[in-house]
Amino acid sequence: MKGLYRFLSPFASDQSGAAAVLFELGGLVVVCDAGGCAGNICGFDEPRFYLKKAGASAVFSACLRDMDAIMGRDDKLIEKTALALRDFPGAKFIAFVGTPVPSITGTDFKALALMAESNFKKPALAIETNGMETYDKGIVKAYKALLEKFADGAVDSKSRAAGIWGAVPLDLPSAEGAKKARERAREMGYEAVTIGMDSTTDDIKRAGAASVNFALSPSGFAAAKMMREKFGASAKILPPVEINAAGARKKFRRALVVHQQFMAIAAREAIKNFCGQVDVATFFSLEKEFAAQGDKAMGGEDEFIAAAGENQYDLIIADPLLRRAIPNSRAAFVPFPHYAVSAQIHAPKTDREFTAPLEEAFA
Amino acid sequence: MNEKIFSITADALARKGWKGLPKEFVPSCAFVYSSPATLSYNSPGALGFGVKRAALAVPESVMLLVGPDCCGRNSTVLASEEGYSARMFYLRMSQSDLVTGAHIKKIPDAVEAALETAKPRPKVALVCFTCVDALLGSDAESACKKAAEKTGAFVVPCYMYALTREGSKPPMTAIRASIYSLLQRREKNPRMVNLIGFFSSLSKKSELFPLLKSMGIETAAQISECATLDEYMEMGRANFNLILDGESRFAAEELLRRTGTPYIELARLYDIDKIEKQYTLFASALGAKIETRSWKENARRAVDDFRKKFDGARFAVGQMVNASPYELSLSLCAYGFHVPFIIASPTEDDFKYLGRLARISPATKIFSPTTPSMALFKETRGEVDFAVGKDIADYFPDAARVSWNGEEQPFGFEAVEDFFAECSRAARGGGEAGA
Repeated sequence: MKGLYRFLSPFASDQSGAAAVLFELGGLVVVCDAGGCAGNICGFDEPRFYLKKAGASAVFSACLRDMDAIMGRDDKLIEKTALALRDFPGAKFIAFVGTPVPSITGTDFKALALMAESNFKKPALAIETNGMETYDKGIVKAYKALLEKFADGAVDSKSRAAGIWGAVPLDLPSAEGAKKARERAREMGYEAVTIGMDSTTDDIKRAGAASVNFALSPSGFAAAKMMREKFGASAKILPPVEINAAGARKKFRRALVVHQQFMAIAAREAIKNFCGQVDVATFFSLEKEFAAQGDKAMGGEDEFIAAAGENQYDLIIADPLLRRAIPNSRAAFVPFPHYAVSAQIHAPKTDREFTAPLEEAFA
Repeated sequence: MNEKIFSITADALARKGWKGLPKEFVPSCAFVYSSPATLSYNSPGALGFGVKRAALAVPESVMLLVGPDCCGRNSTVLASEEGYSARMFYLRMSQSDLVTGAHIKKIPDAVEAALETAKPRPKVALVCFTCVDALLGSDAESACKKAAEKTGAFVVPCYMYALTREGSKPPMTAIRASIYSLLQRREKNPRMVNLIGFFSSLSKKSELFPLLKSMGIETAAQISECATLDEYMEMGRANFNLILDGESRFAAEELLRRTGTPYIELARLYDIDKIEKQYTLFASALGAKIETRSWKENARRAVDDFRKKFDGARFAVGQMVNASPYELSLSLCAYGFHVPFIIASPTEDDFKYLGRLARISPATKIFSPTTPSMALFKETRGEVDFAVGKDIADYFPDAARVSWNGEEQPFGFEAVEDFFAECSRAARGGGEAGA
């Protein structure tokens, strides 16, 4: 049945993706919910939440109650914002992040942001997430809001400055993923900033000066394309991880890799010489221009079972949680954790820990 | 301590009373700051027993959560860690469902699919609805009735309506009513009582069991101890329900209305004299006499022994404790210890203890865990010896950590003994302890 999950459980939703982009930027992030959504974001989808990183955004629940939702009391939200700003006068911006409740009541986020800007003389972002779409959609909405509000500068085609988009824990192999991505960019001759991790609003303000914008994920690529449209810099993929299967001895007939598309493509590139065919599948955005024949976007559990459960593959590389849905599969299964799927349950501490099972599967 | 952080002394709060409760203690009056401490308990689906896990206390059951992905996201982790993944099913709502309500029509088929998938086939399906259906005005009862007709199973609606947290039936009150809603009027067993209020079992060491026996009550049933639906249904035979947590009053009222089973309430207390008095009143209400001396002496000895080792010990008390934070603080102060900090929002019931706490320890500083200014509460060193509560250890990094939030529920004199034993253990180990 479409929409029913019998074996899997819900993945990170759009509001978590949006909050992940904003998390390190020192803003006042207001999740417009009754309490549970902010709890899910901070407690389950944001590994940086417990690290108490200096300068991080403060994440609040708007703590909506039934009458707030029914009456649409935006003025009360503004009053609460004023109270929170008393304790966070240095907030660099205010962001209103949507959840299912305001999506039902039809909250006008743009008007809310305008009211906040007018009242508090701070930049305010309206991010209309709804808790029903996947996290990658929220990442794109947050990037779009940030770019519209902050990004400036003119491209210098001779510059070796680069932006790396899609750098959020939900899409990366481990906590060191952003640093490793910058190192890979440096090897290519670029001084890069990872937008989403280890960056500030000032980096976004200067983002327009980059001569190239790399993407670690399809949502990052959407941002890189926005940058191309706005400033003219080129948009390119940067593999989100480095996998070394050079010493492979084993061969497989046909492999299925399930992850965010660019991570799955990185795996395919590493193993394609040792497999008859490698297909990529994702529950999230699929950029057609990077998809090969046989690659697929899956709408949910049934499509995954149909794709992976018919023993057409002898190797499945996917988040360990997905294994529950294909108990009768005879394919070899290689864990390839995705934070947006299994959160901290299977989260590797390092990129090396992330790639090791895949590399060992071919050894 | 940063003066911008909201706090109030016990004396000032007692004088204000419940009706004058400062708005900083009312989450809906401001944003709720997402600190690790807040997250531990604030969300209706938070750690420990949130709505979803609590509902699964019904034996031979599965849950179908009907809602947007974000509402079920925490179950990905919690259900896996706490071992109930195989009993959770999700009917994911889309944006078009908001307009068409099509998700409601899918519920009977989804319930059937869930029952077919779980092995052995469950007898009960709990269908959990979220804020979304609260706002849409979806007819949850009717959807569950149709699912029951289709499947032949018991299908129970339950409500994870965070929007109603400060209403008359907040989520954790409503879920307590839901999990007992299958009990039916049966021939009464005068020697049987139900212990209601907790989703996990009362400590087997508690003197409550032998005391009930001494009053002629042979069976003290608990939902967490029922392995089968038949055992659960037997709870319908109880002569009365014994409420051990105030959030179960609504459930008890519902049971009184539906099955005619009356109820009595016993509070979980840490003041030895009050525990004794409560037991005496309870026994006299049942026309019985009880002897509590030996348990009382053991509890008294535990307090005295602890005092000898940690005379003048200073405690901070948080929200996530197997106690009323205010009654526990009052008891500690009455035993001669100090409680410089309480980080917990008081309930109306807690004001029963606040007056006396204000007289013994008027300067105790009380913080609201959810108020935005708590973001400014930095680690506090050297001001307390014990940090009691699962949620506050980070605030007091050099204090002995006593979670006191274990799943096995302490009660009565035994709780006092165990509490001080845990504190001693934490002080010795310097690490975390916590039944």
